[in-house]
Amino acid sequence: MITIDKARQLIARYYDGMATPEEITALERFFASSEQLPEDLLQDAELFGLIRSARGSSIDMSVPDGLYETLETIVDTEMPECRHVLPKFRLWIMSAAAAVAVLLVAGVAMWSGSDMDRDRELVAGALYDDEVTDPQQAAEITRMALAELTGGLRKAKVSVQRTERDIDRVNEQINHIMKKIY
Amino acid sequence: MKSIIRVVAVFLALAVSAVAVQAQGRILKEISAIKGVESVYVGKFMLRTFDSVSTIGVDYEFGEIVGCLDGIEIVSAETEEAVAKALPILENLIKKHTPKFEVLVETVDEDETTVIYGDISADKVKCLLIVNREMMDELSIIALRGDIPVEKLASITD
Repeated sequence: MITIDKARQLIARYYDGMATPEEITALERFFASSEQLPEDLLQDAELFGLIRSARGSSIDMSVPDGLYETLETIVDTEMPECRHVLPKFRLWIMSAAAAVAVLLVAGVAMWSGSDMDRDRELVAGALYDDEVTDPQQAAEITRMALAELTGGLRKAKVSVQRTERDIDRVNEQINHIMKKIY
Repeated sequence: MKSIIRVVAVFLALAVSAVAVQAQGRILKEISAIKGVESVYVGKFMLRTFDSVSTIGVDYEFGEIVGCLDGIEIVSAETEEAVAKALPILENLIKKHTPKFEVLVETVDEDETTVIYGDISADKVKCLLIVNREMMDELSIIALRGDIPVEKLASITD
């Protein structure tokens, strides 16, 4: 005969589906023979009591002969239209189409250079190894990057302006020469 | 037949969106993995924390651009070997980028060359690449990703 504490342990195992046949038998015996039980075990005792009485009853639980055939006949005669909703060949084609589409998705993802690192950015909270998390440092880097951009663009603008000035100077020279000629 | 077409269409849409999502990822990741290349990345979250221009102490126009950025990547190689490995990857990246990168600016100053590439569509700059090369052993690339209106970019040169 098991103790109350042991019964509690076995019940936990029983509900988890981990109890062995021997442990289940021990529990059945415990609940069958114990008269005064703590409050937390009363519901369990009731369950085991129901199982015991069902086992002892004379109800015939076996499947009647020919039940499957009868059900099949009912399905065939009562719901013939159901059989035409998804013919086998159509199901086959749809499955093939879905498989091709899945392969396409996978192929396109691989072709476009998918890698774990890149995908990490899509996961909230995931950081790259070289990702800056210090606001001061981030501000400094941003400032530097924008300064490079501005510097490059301004340099080009200055070159264009210088070229425009050169063109103006050449035009002036040409005009001067033309005036002398005519 | 309609169901089949629908299934294929849904999956193709998924495939296209998968590519679109990936296109938003880091573009200099492959270069940053090269030995001898230093890299740094400022993500969208950090850029969004610069809620005011004064936070980063830049000009007003700069501040407006910061608000349009989704990420800044910087890679720099300072050895001949690292530069040699990075250049073909960069070339490939520029060639295969969709839509194509346009050369916005190219300046040559003695041994230093700076090229700014832009991915511009519908008056918005989606990505800017600032490639700076000095001699054979110095290369730095800055990638700015976001949704920058062209007029804002033009205003920073004034």
